[in-house]
This record gives sequence, structure tokens and C-alpha cells, in this order.
Amino acid sequence: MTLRRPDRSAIVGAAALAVFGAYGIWQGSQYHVGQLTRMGPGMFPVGLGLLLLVLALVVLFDKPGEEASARRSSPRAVGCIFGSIVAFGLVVERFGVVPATVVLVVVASLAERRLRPLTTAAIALGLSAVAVLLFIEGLGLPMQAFDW
Amino acid sequence: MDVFANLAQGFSTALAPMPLLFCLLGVTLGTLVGVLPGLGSMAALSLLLPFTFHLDPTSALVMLAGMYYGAQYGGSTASILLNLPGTAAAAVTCLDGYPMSRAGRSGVALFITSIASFVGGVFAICLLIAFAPFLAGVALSFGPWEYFSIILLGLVSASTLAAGSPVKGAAAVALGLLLGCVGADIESGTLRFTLGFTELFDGVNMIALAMGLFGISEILGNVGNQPPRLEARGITWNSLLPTRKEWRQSLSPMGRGSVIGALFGILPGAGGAIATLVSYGVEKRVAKDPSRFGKGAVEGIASPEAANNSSVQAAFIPTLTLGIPGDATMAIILSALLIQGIIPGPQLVGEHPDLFWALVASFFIGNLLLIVLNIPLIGVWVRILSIPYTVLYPSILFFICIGVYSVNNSAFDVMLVGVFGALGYAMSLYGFPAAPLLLGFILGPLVEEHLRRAFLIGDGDPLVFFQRPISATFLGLTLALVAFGLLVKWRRWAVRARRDPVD
Repeated sequence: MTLRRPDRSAIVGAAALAVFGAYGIWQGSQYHVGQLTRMGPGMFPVGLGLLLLVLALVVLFDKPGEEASARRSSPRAVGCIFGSIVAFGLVVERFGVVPATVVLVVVASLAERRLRPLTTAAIALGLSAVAVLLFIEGLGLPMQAFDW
Repeated sequence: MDVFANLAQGFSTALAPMPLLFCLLGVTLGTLVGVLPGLGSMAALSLLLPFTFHLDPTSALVMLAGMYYGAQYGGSTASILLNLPGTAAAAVTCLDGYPMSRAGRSGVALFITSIASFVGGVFAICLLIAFAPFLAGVALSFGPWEYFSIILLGLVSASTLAAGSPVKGAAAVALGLLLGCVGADIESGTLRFTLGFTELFDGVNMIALAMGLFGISEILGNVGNQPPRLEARGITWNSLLPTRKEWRQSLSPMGRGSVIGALFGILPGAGGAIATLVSYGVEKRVAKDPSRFGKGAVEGIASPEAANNSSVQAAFIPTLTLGIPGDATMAIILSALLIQGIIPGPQLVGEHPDLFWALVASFFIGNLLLIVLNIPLIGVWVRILSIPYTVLYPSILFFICIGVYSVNNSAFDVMLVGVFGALGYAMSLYGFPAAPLLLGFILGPLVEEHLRRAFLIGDGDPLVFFQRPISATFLGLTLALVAFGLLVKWRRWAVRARRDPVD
């Protein structure tokens, strides 16, 4: 039996697993590991780390499976979607829910190649209304619509 | 008290205005997210979870459960009309549902799926009524060994029975277990893997994890895609009704599907997606003319749809009686219970009979409501399918952010969504399944606790796991699953080696 030469995707997957596994072992061993009869907080993470290292090896040399990998989105879409989440997180504590919603919708809609300013404005307005009327007034969630 | 008295009591609770309203709300929202491609029941349930904190336990549970099985009804609509599965389990329905649509029989396909879902659902509810109280009684005598073995079986079957590579599934489970360690250790209070963030002392926020893994990567997978053309010309009342031949063809598949679905639903870790695949395979094998499959065979939608709904309802059996969620979605429903201060487990049926029986009764009511929602009102859902994604995805992002933020009023949790969104996206690019990770994360603290307790009581003796019959049975099943996986792998390798011996 000859082992398959790992392709790029297998190397990336295995490397990521190995990093997580090594981190689990290194960090876990700093806690009290203990005996089997009296397991400390470190034993379970160290065990998982070892398991991850083994699985990383198997992934590396496994036959390429038929599992479907997702289509890669454009870097622009990826950037805008993550950007919109981070922006919401940054704005919501300092300025309130409504400004955060507007920023989220504007950044998110940049993900698309064709910009539609009117549609974007309408969505931002509609969702701000949902935030205020449904979540703050209706459900009484303890957040501020505007906070500056 | 006998079953019928209990059930009658349950109906009187579930038919009260509030639970009834939330049941209707749950199944309607469920159908909606099921219909909308790019928003699965996983993401939708985690979206709704923060808002159930303010409800009474019965209403909260009835609504979440309704959303879960409602999404299974709705998921098939998008599969049939657009060839786009609204949920993972509905993917099989595309195979024969979409060809039926193209042949102008979309009305019949939608009608059959609703009826099959109803049959499967009701079958599993009856099983739940028959077995749950009994199982809960047995489970009262479970020690840490039994719990550990059952959870292990769940984790192993979640990784090996999921679609895709079992190795990558196992890796996802292990990663989830490691993530479950984050926060203060239950026994010693040692802070683990917190990276110095005080926000992580109580562990990773599950809602942020679920939204990141499922919500964000679903959006990324859909944004910028051209929606396919809608195959829904003129769905009228008459076009819904199957012919007598189609009725005859779909009756026994519905029965077979219900049984297969229930089997997979009870097994922790398996779930709707695998049940639909298996039942489709069975139908193809028992059919007189297998070549009809894939070209619009009614059996090809009737059986998987029954299996799907049956497995979803049967998944409540381990969740409610053992407190062990069968899949990631169940885990969310379980955490809703925990937040309400109700500890799921064998005591649940005895200590909260009102809640248990009201939930069971609400399943009947919800399934009936879904028939009404899905057959006469099908036109409404078809129209919703034509909402452009340009409008949809900023709205989904908004609901994700505000839902996560509302849990602790913490911007840190919103950032976590971003982090786990990136993880989920990377995992989907490299073919790692996300659902086993979440299941590992939820079951991690449980499995560690029971393992530690088992070794503490058993004085470090691992043989106890094999000396106790129930624990030994579950471990045997786990080993059988692993052996089966290896066998499949080896046979595939042998076949390939014979085909091209140079390799």
C-alpha cells in the first residue's frame, strides 16, 4: 500500500488540526493533569490534543474524499460580510443599536458588485424600525437605540 | 394516571391561548426559514433563542420545537420549486421533487411532501408517547458509565454518519470538545483557554458559536449567486391533488420512511440528513423500476420526507429522557430548557409532567397547523421565495448581530460571531462539517464530567465501562460503527487498488 502524496487542501487541514492539537496539549499541560482516579482540569484537554494530532496525520494521508467543499466567495464579499459584523460590534456599544444597524447594512451591501443606494437605504431604515419597535419597545430588550 | 389522561392534560395546556399562539408562531417562522434558501433551522433557532428568555418554559419550548419541525416542512418547498434545499435534510427531495416540478407536477409534489411529513411526524410522536416515560424510568438507574457511553456513541455517530469524510467529522467533534473546555473548570474552578478574556470565564457563548458556524457561512455561500428560475407556474387547488395511482405509489414508502426516520432519530448523533439518504436508497432498492428515480418518482419524495420528519420528532426521545441532545439543533432546544431553569434528563417527565405532555400535545397541534400552512397557503410561500437575496442577507446579518448582542449586551460576543464565522467558512472550504463541531462543543462538558466521575467512583478502573450491561451495549455499538467505517474505507481502497494497481 502506497500512501497518497498529500495535496494542498489536505496539508492546510492537517496543519490547522495539528496547531489546535499542539495548543491543547501545551496549554492543557500547564493546568493540573492529575491521575486517572482523580483527573485534573488538564487531562481532558491534553487527551483531546493528542487525538487531534492523530487525526491531523490521518487527514494528511487520507484518500481525497468526495465531500463537497464550499465555493470560494469573492474576497470582496468575504471582507464586507465580516467587516459588517465587526462594525456592528464596534458601533453598538458607543453609539447605540440604530447607528450600528445602519453601518451594518451599508458595509454588508458593499459585498455586491452592483450598488443600489436606494435599496440599501430602505433596508437600513426598515431594519432600524424593527430594532426599535420590535426589539426595544415590543420585547423590551435592554438596549439603547441611540447612545451618545 | 394513564397515557390518555396525561395527553388530555397536555392538550388542555397546549391549547391555552399563549402556547397555541407560540406554536403557530414557531411553525410559521419555521416554514419561513425552511423555505428561504440560505437560512437553515440551525441558524434560525439560535436566532430565536435569546428572545425565548422572556417567555414561560412551555411557550418557549413549544415555539422552538415548532420552528424545528416547521423548517422541515418548508425545506422541501425550496427543494421542489428551485432545486435548492432549504435545509440539509431536504437535499434528497431535490432529486425527484425538482423533476416533478419541471414536468408541471409541482403542486402534487408539494402536497405529497406535506402529507408524508405529517405521517412521519405523527408516527414518531406516537413512539415518543409510548417509549419516553419508560426510557426515562430506565435512565434513572444510569450511572456516569452509561452516560459516558451514550454520549460517546452520539459523538462517534455524528462524525461517521454525517455526509462527507468521517475523519474530518471526527476532527470537527474533537475541536468542538476542546472548545467546550473553554472557561472555568467545573470541579477545580481552574480557568482554561480563556486567553485572558473575562468574557470567556463562563465559556464560549453557544449562540455566537452557532450563528458564526452556520449563519455566516450560509450567507457567504449565497451572496453574489444568481437565484435559479422559479418552477411554479399556476399552483391551483386542483393541481395539488395527486392521482389515485400516485396515492397508491406513495403510501407504503411513507410507512417505510417513517420507520427508518424514527430509528435514526432515536440514535443520538444521527439525524434527518442521513435518514433521508437511507430511506431514498431503500425505496430505490425495493422499487420495481429503479430507473424512474431521479426523473420525478413520487416514492422518491414520499419516503425521505416521512423519514425526515419522523427523525426530527423522534430526536426528542433521547433529548427529553436522557438530557442528551441527538444533534446540534436539539442541543439548542436543550439549552433553552436549561436557561429556563429546567434540567433535562430522566427526571423531566416525572418532575415537569405538564411541560412534557404539553410539548407532546403541541407536536400534534403543530403538525396539523403545518398541513394548513403548507397546503392551502402554498402560494404565499412561493411568493416569499422570490424575495431577492440583496434584501435578505443584510437582514439575516442584522438578526444575527442583534440576537447575539441581546444575550449579554456584549459587543465581545458579536466579535466572536465574526471569529467563528471565519472558522466555519474555512471549515466549509476544506470540507470539514460544522454540525459535529457544535455537537462536540455542547456535549464536551457533559462527557468530561461523566468521565471524571466514572473514574473517581470506579477507582480508575476502565473495565467498569464493559461490566455494566447498558454501558457495554452502547460501547459495543460505538465500536461497531467505527469498525463499519473502517471496513467501508478498506473496501473502497481495495476496489481502487484493483482498478489501477500502479497507484
